Amino acid sequence: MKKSLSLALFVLLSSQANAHDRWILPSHFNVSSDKGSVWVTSDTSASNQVFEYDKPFSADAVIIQTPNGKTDKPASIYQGKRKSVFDYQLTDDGTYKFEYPVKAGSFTRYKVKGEEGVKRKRADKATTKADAPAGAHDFYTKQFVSRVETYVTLNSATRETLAPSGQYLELTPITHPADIVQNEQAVLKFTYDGQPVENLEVEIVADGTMYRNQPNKVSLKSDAQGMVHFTPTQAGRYLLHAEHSIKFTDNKDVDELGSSIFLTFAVGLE
Amino acid sequence: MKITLPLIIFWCFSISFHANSAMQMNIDLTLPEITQGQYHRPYVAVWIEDSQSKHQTTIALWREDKGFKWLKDIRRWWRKAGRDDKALVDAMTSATRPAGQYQLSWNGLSQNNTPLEPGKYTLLVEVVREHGGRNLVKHPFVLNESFNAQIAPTAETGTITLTYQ
Repeated sequence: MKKSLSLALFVLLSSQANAHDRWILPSHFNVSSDKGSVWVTSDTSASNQVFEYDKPFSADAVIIQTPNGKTDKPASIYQGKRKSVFDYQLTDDGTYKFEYPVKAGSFTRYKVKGEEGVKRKRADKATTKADAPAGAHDFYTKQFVSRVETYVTLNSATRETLAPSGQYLELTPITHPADIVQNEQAVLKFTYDGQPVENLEVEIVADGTMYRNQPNKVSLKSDAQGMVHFTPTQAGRYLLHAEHSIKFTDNKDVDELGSSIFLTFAVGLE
Repeated sequence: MKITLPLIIFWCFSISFHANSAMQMNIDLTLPEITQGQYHRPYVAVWIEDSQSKHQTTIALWREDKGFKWLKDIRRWWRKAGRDDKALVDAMTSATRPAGQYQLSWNGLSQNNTPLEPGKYTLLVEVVREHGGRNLVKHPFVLNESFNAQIAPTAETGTITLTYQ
Protein backbone atom coordinates (compact mmCIF):
# COMPACT_ATOMS: atom_id res chain seq x y z
CA MET A 1 0.00 0.00 0.00
CA LYS A 2 2.77 2.31 1.02
CA LYS A 3 4.57 1.45 -2.16
CA SER A 4 1.65 2.19 -4.44
CA LEU A 5 0.97 5.45 -2.68
CA SER A 6 4.53 6.64 -3.12
CA LEU A 7 4.37 5.47 -6.71
CA ALA A 8 1.26 7.53 -7.30
CA LEU A 9 2.91 10.47 -5.64
CA PHE A 10 5.96 10.02 -7.79
CA VAL A 11 3.84 10.04 -10.91
CA LEU A 12 2.04 13.15 -9.77
CA LEU A 13 5.19 15.01 -8.98
CA SER A 14 7.57 13.77 -11.57
CA SER A 15 6.30 15.87 -14.44
CA GLN A 16 9.52 17.85 -14.43
CA ALA A 17 11.38 14.63 -15.08
CA ASN A 18 8.87 13.91 -17.79
CA ALA A 19 8.73 10.30 -16.75
CA HIS A 20 5.22 9.66 -17.95
CA ASP A 21 2.64 11.16 -20.20
CA ARG A 22 -0.53 12.01 -18.40
CA TRP A 23 -3.86 12.11 -20.05
CA ILE A 24 -7.62 12.30 -19.81
CA LEU A 25 -9.26 10.05 -22.38
CA PRO A 26 -12.99 10.61 -22.86
CA SER A 27 -15.21 7.84 -24.21
CA HIS A 28 -16.62 10.29 -26.75
CA PHE A 29 -15.22 13.48 -28.22
CA ASN A 30 -18.39 14.31 -30.13
CA VAL A 31 -21.90 13.30 -29.16
CA SER A 32 -25.30 14.01 -30.68
CA SER A 33 -28.54 14.10 -28.75
CA ASP A 34 -31.97 15.66 -28.80
CA LYS A 35 -32.67 14.53 -25.24
CA GLY A 36 -30.81 17.38 -23.61
CA SER A 37 -28.24 15.32 -21.76
CA VAL A 38 -25.67 12.65 -22.47
CA TRP A 39 -23.34 10.77 -20.15
CA VAL A 40 -19.69 10.56 -21.05
CA THR A 41 -17.08 8.56 -19.19
CA SER A 42 -13.35 9.32 -19.11
CA ASP A 43 -10.20 7.51 -18.06
CA THR A 44 -7.22 9.22 -16.49
CA SER A 45 -3.84 7.58 -16.24
CA ALA A 46 -0.13 8.17 -16.65
CA SER A 47 1.88 6.00 -18.98
CA ASN A 48 4.84 5.84 -21.28
CA GLN A 49 2.78 4.35 -24.05
CA VAL A 50 -0.08 6.39 -25.37
CA PHE A 51 -3.41 5.44 -23.81
CA GLU A 52 -2.13 2.32 -22.08
CA TYR A 53 -3.34 2.30 -18.49
CA ASP A 54 -0.26 2.26 -16.33
CA LYS A 55 0.02 4.47 -13.25
CA PRO A 56 -3.02 5.69 -11.35
CA PHE A 57 -3.56 9.35 -11.91
CA SER A 58 -6.40 10.46 -9.71
CA ALA A 59 -9.45 12.11 -11.20
CA ASP A 60 -10.30 13.87 -7.92
CA ALA A 61 -8.86 17.14 -9.10
CA VAL A 62 -10.54 17.13 -12.51
CA ILE A 63 -12.66 20.16 -13.26
CA ILE A 64 -15.02 20.66 -16.14
CA GLN A 65 -15.57 23.95 -17.91
CA THR A 66 -19.07 24.03 -19.33
CA PRO A 67 -20.11 25.86 -22.51
CA ASN A 68 -22.16 28.33 -20.47
CA GLY A 69 -19.18 29.46 -18.45
CA LYS A 70 -19.61 27.37 -15.31
CA THR A 71 -17.06 25.18 -13.59
CA ASP A 72 -18.23 21.71 -12.62
CA LYS A 73 -16.91 18.49 -11.07
CA PRO A 74 -17.19 14.88 -12.21
CA ALA A 75 -20.40 13.16 -11.13
CA SER A 76 -18.62 10.04 -9.93
CA ILE A 77 -15.06 8.82 -9.67
CA TYR A 78 -13.57 5.36 -9.53
CA GLN A 79 -9.99 5.14 -8.37
CA GLY A 80 -8.23 2.07 -9.69
CA LYS A 81 -4.70 0.79 -9.49
CA ARG A 82 -3.84 1.64 -13.06
CA LYS A 83 -6.33 4.33 -13.87
CA SER A 84 -9.11 6.50 -12.57
CA VAL A 85 -12.49 6.81 -14.21
CA PHE A 86 -14.90 9.68 -13.98
CA ASP A 87 -18.36 10.15 -15.39
CA TYR A 88 -19.93 13.39 -16.43
CA GLN A 89 -23.31 14.35 -17.81
CA LEU A 90 -23.29 16.88 -20.62
CA THR A 91 -26.47 18.91 -20.34
CA ASP A 92 -25.98 21.90 -22.62
CA ASP A 93 -25.12 22.00 -26.30
CA GLY A 94 -21.58 23.10 -26.86
CA THR A 95 -17.96 22.28 -26.12
CA TYR A 96 -16.82 21.21 -22.66
CA LYS A 97 -13.26 21.27 -21.43
CA PHE A 98 -12.10 18.51 -19.05
CA GLU A 99 -8.90 19.47 -17.28
CA TYR A 100 -6.60 19.23 -14.34
CA PRO A 101 -6.38 22.72 -12.93
CA VAL A 102 -2.93 24.18 -13.01
CA LYS A 103 -1.09 23.72 -9.74
CA ALA A 104 2.52 24.62 -9.20
CA GLY A 105 4.92 22.15 -7.61
CA SER A 106 8.62 22.37 -6.83
CA PHE A 107 11.59 20.07 -7.01
CA THR A 108 14.96 20.99 -5.53
CA ARG A 109 18.31 19.31 -6.03
CA TYR A 110 21.48 19.99 -4.09
CA LYS A 111 24.86 18.59 -3.22
CA VAL A 112 26.35 17.74 0.15
CA LYS A 113 30.00 18.37 0.85
CA GLY A 114 31.94 15.15 1.13
CA GLU A 115 29.16 13.07 -0.43
CA GLU A 116 28.84 11.71 -3.92
CA GLY A 117 26.05 12.62 -6.29
CA VAL A 118 23.05 14.89 -6.28
CA LYS A 119 20.28 14.87 -3.67
CA ARG A 120 16.72 15.59 -4.68
CA LYS A 121 13.69 16.71 -2.76
CA ARG A 122 10.16 17.46 -3.84
CA ALA A 123 9.98 20.78 -2.09
CA ASP A 124 10.74 24.42 -2.61
CA LYS A 125 14.16 25.87 -1.90
CA ALA A 126 13.43 27.17 1.61
CA THR A 127 12.03 23.82 2.82
CA THR A 128 14.86 21.87 1.21
CA LYS A 129 17.49 24.15 2.74
CA ALA A 130 15.91 23.86 6.18
CA ASP A 131 15.98 20.04 5.99
CA ALA A 132 19.38 19.65 4.32
CA PRO A 133 22.47 18.82 6.38
CA ALA A 134 25.04 21.47 7.12
CA GLY A 135 27.41 22.06 4.22
CA ALA A 136 24.77 21.41 1.55
CA HIS A 137 25.28 23.63 -1.48
CA ASP A 138 24.35 24.21 -5.14
CA PHE A 139 20.62 24.34 -4.50
CA TYR A 140 18.68 24.36 -7.76
CA THR A 141 14.90 24.58 -7.68
CA LYS A 142 12.66 23.83 -10.59
CA GLN A 143 9.05 24.79 -10.34
CA PHE A 144 6.69 23.01 -12.63
CA VAL A 145 3.14 23.51 -13.74
CA SER A 146 1.23 21.36 -16.13
CA ARG A 147 -2.06 21.20 -17.94
CA VAL A 148 -3.78 17.95 -18.82
CA GLU A 149 -6.84 18.58 -20.91
CA THR A 150 -9.34 17.46 -23.49
CA TYR A 151 -12.49 18.74 -25.17
CA VAL A 152 -15.87 17.07 -25.57
CA THR A 153 -18.67 18.48 -27.71
CA LEU A 154 -22.41 17.90 -27.38
CA ASN A 155 -24.17 18.76 -30.65
CA SER A 156 -22.96 22.18 -31.85
CA ALA A 157 -19.33 23.12 -31.33
CA THR A 158 -18.75 26.30 -29.32
CA ARG A 159 -15.56 28.24 -28.68
CA GLU A 160 -15.96 29.78 -25.20
CA THR A 161 -14.09 27.00 -23.40
CA LEU A 162 -11.20 27.16 -25.87
CA ALA A 163 -10.11 30.61 -24.70
CA PRO A 164 -6.80 30.74 -22.81
CA SER A 165 -6.58 32.05 -19.26
CA GLY A 166 -3.34 33.93 -19.89
CA GLN A 167 -1.26 31.93 -17.40
CA TYR A 168 1.73 29.73 -18.11
CA LEU A 169 1.96 27.58 -21.23
CA GLU A 170 -1.39 27.23 -22.93
CA LEU A 171 -2.81 25.72 -26.06
CA THR A 172 -5.62 27.47 -27.88
CA PRO A 173 -7.19 25.41 -30.65
CA ILE A 174 -7.64 27.63 -33.71
CA THR A 175 -9.14 24.69 -35.56
CA HIS A 176 -11.94 23.61 -33.25
CA PRO A 177 -11.17 20.20 -31.69
CA ALA A 178 -14.48 18.93 -33.10
CA ASP A 179 -13.24 19.89 -36.58
CA ILE A 180 -9.85 18.20 -36.62
CA VAL A 181 -10.20 15.82 -39.53
CA GLN A 182 -7.85 13.60 -41.51
CA ASN A 183 -6.24 15.20 -44.57
CA GLU A 184 -7.27 18.69 -43.46
CA GLN A 185 -4.85 21.12 -41.91
CA ALA A 186 -5.37 21.75 -38.21
CA VAL A 187 -3.97 24.82 -36.44
CA LEU A 188 -3.16 25.19 -32.75
CA LYS A 189 -1.77 28.23 -30.99
CA PHE A 190 0.67 28.18 -28.09
CA THR A 191 1.07 31.04 -25.65
CA TYR A 192 2.99 31.62 -22.46
CA ASP A 193 1.36 34.07 -20.05
CA GLY A 194 -0.79 35.09 -22.99
CA GLN A 195 2.11 35.80 -25.35
CA PRO A 196 2.83 33.64 -28.43
CA VAL A 197 5.66 31.14 -27.95
CA GLU A 198 8.00 30.74 -30.89
CA ASN A 199 10.02 27.58 -31.55
CA LEU A 200 8.12 25.50 -29.02
CA GLU A 201 8.60 21.81 -29.65
CA VAL A 202 5.29 20.04 -29.92
CA GLU A 203 4.97 16.29 -30.15
CA ILE A 204 1.82 14.56 -31.35
CA VAL A 205 1.62 10.79 -30.92
CA ALA A 206 -1.06 8.51 -32.36
CA ASP A 207 -2.89 6.02 -30.15
CA GLY A 208 -1.64 2.43 -30.08
CA THR A 209 2.13 2.80 -29.67
CA MET A 210 2.17 -0.62 -28.00
CA TYR A 211 1.22 -2.31 -31.26
CA ARG A 212 3.72 -0.57 -33.49
CA ASN A 213 7.46 -0.77 -33.84
CA GLN A 214 7.68 2.98 -34.25
CA PRO A 215 5.83 5.44 -32.04
CA ASN A 216 4.25 7.16 -35.07
CA LYS A 217 4.70 10.67 -33.80
CA VAL A 218 5.13 14.04 -35.41
CA SER A 219 7.41 16.67 -33.96
CA LEU A 220 6.50 20.21 -34.85
CA LYS A 221 7.72 23.68 -33.98
CA SER A 222 5.61 26.74 -33.40
CA ASP A 223 6.13 29.77 -35.65
CA ALA A 224 6.56 33.41 -34.58
CA GLN A 225 2.82 33.66 -33.90
CA GLY A 226 2.93 30.56 -31.71
CA MET A 227 1.06 28.60 -34.37
CA VAL A 228 1.53 24.93 -35.11
CA HIS A 229 0.11 23.56 -38.36
CA PHE A 230 -0.32 19.90 -39.07
CA THR A 231 -2.32 17.69 -41.37
CA PRO A 232 -3.13 14.30 -39.85
CA THR A 233 -3.32 11.53 -42.40
CA GLN A 234 -5.01 9.03 -40.07
CA ALA A 235 -8.21 9.35 -38.10
CA GLY A 236 -7.97 8.29 -34.48
CA ARG A 237 -7.01 9.43 -31.02
CA TYR A 238 -3.86 11.41 -30.36
CA LEU A 239 -1.88 12.73 -27.42
CA LEU A 240 -0.11 16.05 -27.77
CA HIS A 241 2.72 17.05 -25.47
CA ALA A 242 4.65 20.30 -25.28
CA GLU A 243 6.98 21.68 -22.68
CA HIS A 244 8.30 25.15 -22.11
CA SER A 245 11.07 26.14 -19.73
CA ILE A 246 12.32 29.47 -18.44
CA LYS A 247 15.52 29.87 -16.43
CA PHE A 248 15.84 32.65 -13.90
CA THR A 249 19.07 34.25 -12.79
CA ASP A 250 17.43 36.85 -10.58
CA ASN A 251 15.09 34.67 -8.55
CA LYS A 252 16.46 33.33 -5.26
CA ASP A 253 13.60 30.87 -4.76
CA VAL A 254 13.13 29.41 -8.25
CA ASP A 255 15.89 28.74 -10.79
CA GLU A 256 13.73 27.28 -13.50
CA LEU A 257 10.05 27.18 -14.34
CA GLY A 258 8.86 24.29 -16.48
CA SER A 259 5.37 24.44 -17.93
CA SER A 260 3.94 21.50 -19.82
CA ILE A 261 0.76 20.64 -21.59
CA PHE A 262 -0.94 17.38 -22.51
CA LEU A 263 -3.93 17.44 -24.82
CA THR A 264 -5.96 14.42 -25.83
CA PHE A 265 -7.86 14.88 -29.06
CA ALA A 266 -9.47 12.90 -31.84
CA VAL A 267 -8.94 13.20 -35.56
CA GLY A 268 -12.20 12.51 -37.34
CA LEU A 269 -12.70 10.54 -40.52
CA GLU A 270 -12.88 12.69 -43.61
CA MET B 1 -46.80 11.70 -52.74
CA LYS B 2 -47.97 14.71 -50.78
CA ILE B 3 -44.51 16.17 -51.08
CA THR B 4 -43.80 15.15 -54.63
CA LEU B 5 -46.70 16.92 -56.28
CA PRO B 6 -45.91 20.45 -55.09
CA LEU B 7 -42.28 19.75 -55.83
CA ILE B 8 -43.09 18.86 -59.41
CA ILE B 9 -45.25 21.96 -59.75
CA PHE B 10 -42.46 24.06 -58.30
CA TRP B 11 -39.99 22.46 -60.65
CA CYS B 12 -42.18 23.21 -63.68
CA PHE B 13 -42.42 26.81 -62.59
CA SER B 14 -38.70 27.01 -62.11
CA ILE B 15 -38.13 25.70 -65.58
CA SER B 16 -40.52 28.08 -67.23
CA PHE B 17 -39.30 31.15 -65.38
CA HIS B 18 -35.60 30.48 -65.02
CA ALA B 19 -34.93 28.40 -68.05
CA ASN B 20 -31.17 28.92 -67.79
CA SER B 21 -30.57 28.67 -64.09
CA ALA B 22 -32.80 25.94 -62.79
CA MET B 23 -31.33 22.65 -63.76
CA GLN B 24 -32.28 19.52 -61.94
CA MET B 25 -30.05 16.80 -60.63
CA ASN B 26 -31.54 13.34 -60.45
CA ILE B 27 -29.83 10.94 -58.14
CA ASP B 28 -30.48 7.22 -58.48
CA LEU B 29 -29.24 5.75 -55.25
CA THR B 30 -28.97 2.05 -54.57
CA LEU B 31 -28.57 0.58 -51.13
CA PRO B 32 -27.07 -2.85 -51.68
CA GLU B 33 -28.46 -6.06 -50.29
CA ILE B 34 -26.14 -7.10 -47.49
CA THR B 35 -26.56 -10.64 -46.23
CA GLN B 36 -23.47 -11.03 -44.10
CA GLY B 37 -23.58 -10.22 -40.40
CA GLN B 38 -26.26 -8.35 -38.53
CA TYR B 39 -28.21 -6.12 -40.85
CA HIS B 40 -29.49 -2.76 -39.74
CA ARG B 41 -30.88 -0.29 -42.21
CA PRO B 42 -28.25 2.32 -42.93
CA TYR B 43 -28.25 5.96 -42.00
CA VAL B 44 -27.99 8.00 -45.16
CA ALA B 45 -27.21 11.64 -45.87
CA VAL B 46 -27.10 13.20 -49.32
CA TRP B 47 -26.01 16.79 -49.57
CA ILE B 48 -24.22 19.49 -51.55
CA GLU B 49 -21.06 21.32 -50.51
CA ASP B 50 -19.43 24.28 -52.22
CA SER B 51 -15.78 24.44 -53.30
CA GLN B 52 -14.82 25.47 -49.74
CA SER B 53 -16.44 22.25 -48.42
CA LYS B 54 -19.25 24.28 -46.87
CA HIS B 55 -22.66 22.69 -46.62
CA GLN B 56 -25.20 24.21 -49.02
CA THR B 57 -28.21 21.99 -48.84
CA THR B 58 -29.20 18.58 -47.57
CA ILE B 59 -31.14 16.55 -50.11
CA ALA B 60 -31.91 13.55 -47.92
CA LEU B 61 -31.39 12.41 -44.35
CA TRP B 62 -32.59 8.95 -43.44
CA ARG B 63 -32.24 7.77 -39.87
CA GLU B 64 -34.03 5.90 -37.10
CA ASP B 65 -36.87 7.74 -35.48
CA LYS B 66 -35.07 7.65 -32.14
CA GLY B 67 -31.70 7.89 -33.74
CA PHE B 68 -30.53 11.36 -32.82
CA LYS B 69 -27.74 9.85 -30.78
CA TRP B 70 -26.38 8.09 -33.87
CA LEU B 71 -26.35 11.19 -36.05
CA LYS B 72 -22.75 11.87 -35.05
CA ASP B 73 -21.84 8.66 -36.86
CA ILE B 74 -22.86 10.20 -40.18
CA ARG B 75 -19.62 11.94 -39.44
CA ARG B 76 -19.02 14.36 -42.20
CA TRP B 77 -22.62 15.38 -42.63
CA TRP B 78 -22.93 15.84 -38.86
CA ARG B 79 -19.84 18.04 -38.76
CA LYS B 80 -20.80 20.08 -41.78
CA ALA B 81 -24.51 20.55 -41.18
CA GLY B 82 -26.31 18.54 -38.52
CA ARG B 83 -24.65 19.58 -35.31
CA ASP B 84 -25.32 23.28 -35.86
CA ASP B 85 -28.83 23.06 -37.20
CA LYS B 86 -31.40 21.11 -35.24
CA ALA B 87 -34.18 22.57 -37.37
CA LEU B 88 -32.52 21.14 -40.47
CA VAL B 89 -32.30 17.72 -38.82
CA ASP B 90 -35.96 17.84 -37.85
CA ALA B 91 -37.05 19.11 -41.24
CA MET B 92 -35.01 16.68 -43.32
CA THR B 93 -35.35 13.51 -41.32
CA SER B 94 -37.17 10.61 -42.76
CA ALA B 95 -37.10 6.95 -41.87
CA THR B 96 -34.33 4.58 -42.80
CA ARG B 97 -34.90 2.57 -45.98
CA PRO B 98 -34.21 -1.09 -46.69
CA ALA B 99 -31.93 -2.22 -49.47
CA GLY B 100 -33.28 -1.04 -52.79
CA GLN B 101 -33.26 1.67 -55.42
CA TYR B 102 -34.26 5.24 -54.62
CA GLN B 103 -34.74 8.36 -56.66
CA LEU B 104 -33.78 11.72 -55.26
CA SER B 105 -33.65 15.07 -56.95
CA TRP B 106 -32.16 18.48 -56.36
CA ASN B 107 -33.39 21.70 -57.88
CA GLY B 108 -30.23 23.80 -57.64
CA LEU B 109 -31.36 25.74 -54.58
CA SER B 110 -29.66 26.14 -51.23
CA GLN B 111 -31.22 25.06 -47.95
CA ASN B 112 -33.13 28.35 -47.68
CA ASN B 113 -34.41 28.07 -51.24
CA THR B 114 -32.16 30.66 -52.84
CA PRO B 115 -30.27 29.84 -56.06
CA LEU B 116 -26.63 28.93 -55.54
CA GLU B 117 -23.84 31.16 -56.82
CA PRO B 118 -22.21 29.97 -60.04
CA GLY B 119 -19.19 27.80 -59.36
CA LYS B 120 -17.93 24.39 -58.41
CA TYR B 121 -19.85 22.13 -56.06
CA THR B 122 -19.73 18.59 -54.81
CA LEU B 123 -22.50 16.09 -54.27
CA LEU B 124 -21.81 13.87 -51.26
CA VAL B 125 -23.45 10.64 -50.16
CA GLU B 126 -22.59 9.21 -46.76
CA VAL B 127 -23.98 5.82 -45.76
CA VAL B 128 -23.37 4.39 -42.31
CA ARG B 129 -24.65 1.14 -40.89
CA GLU B 130 -24.68 -0.06 -37.29
CA HIS B 131 -22.52 -3.20 -37.06
CA GLY B 132 -21.57 -2.41 -40.61
CA GLY B 133 -19.34 -0.01 -42.45
CA ARG B 134 -19.33 3.57 -43.55
CA ASN B 135 -18.78 4.92 -47.02
CA LEU B 136 -18.52 8.48 -48.20
CA VAL B 137 -18.70 9.06 -51.93
CA LYS B 138 -18.44 12.36 -53.78
CA HIS B 139 -18.97 13.75 -57.21
CA PRO B 140 -17.75 17.24 -58.13
CA PHE B 141 -19.71 19.29 -60.65
CA VAL B 142 -20.11 22.81 -61.96
CA LEU B 143 -23.39 24.55 -61.31
CA ASN B 144 -25.59 24.50 -64.39
CA GLU B 145 -23.22 22.47 -66.53
CA SER B 146 -25.05 19.31 -67.42
CA PHE B 147 -23.49 15.88 -67.03
CA ASN B 148 -24.29 12.22 -66.64
CA ALA B 149 -22.18 10.19 -64.28
CA GLN B 150 -22.00 7.01 -62.30
CA ILE B 151 -20.36 6.64 -58.92
CA ALA B 152 -18.85 3.19 -58.56
CA PRO B 153 -20.30 0.98 -55.86
CA THR B 154 -18.73 0.61 -52.43
CA ALA B 155 -19.53 -1.82 -49.62
CA GLU B 156 -22.40 0.32 -48.36
CA THR B 157 -23.49 2.04 -51.58
CA GLY B 158 -24.57 0.51 -54.85
CA THR B 159 -24.01 2.27 -58.15
CA ILE B 160 -25.19 5.86 -57.93
CA THR B 161 -26.36 7.33 -61.22
CA LEU B 162 -26.40 11.10 -61.59
CA THR B 163 -28.07 13.07 -64.33
CA TYR B 164 -27.94 16.83 -64.31
CA GLN B 165 -29.86 18.77 -66.93
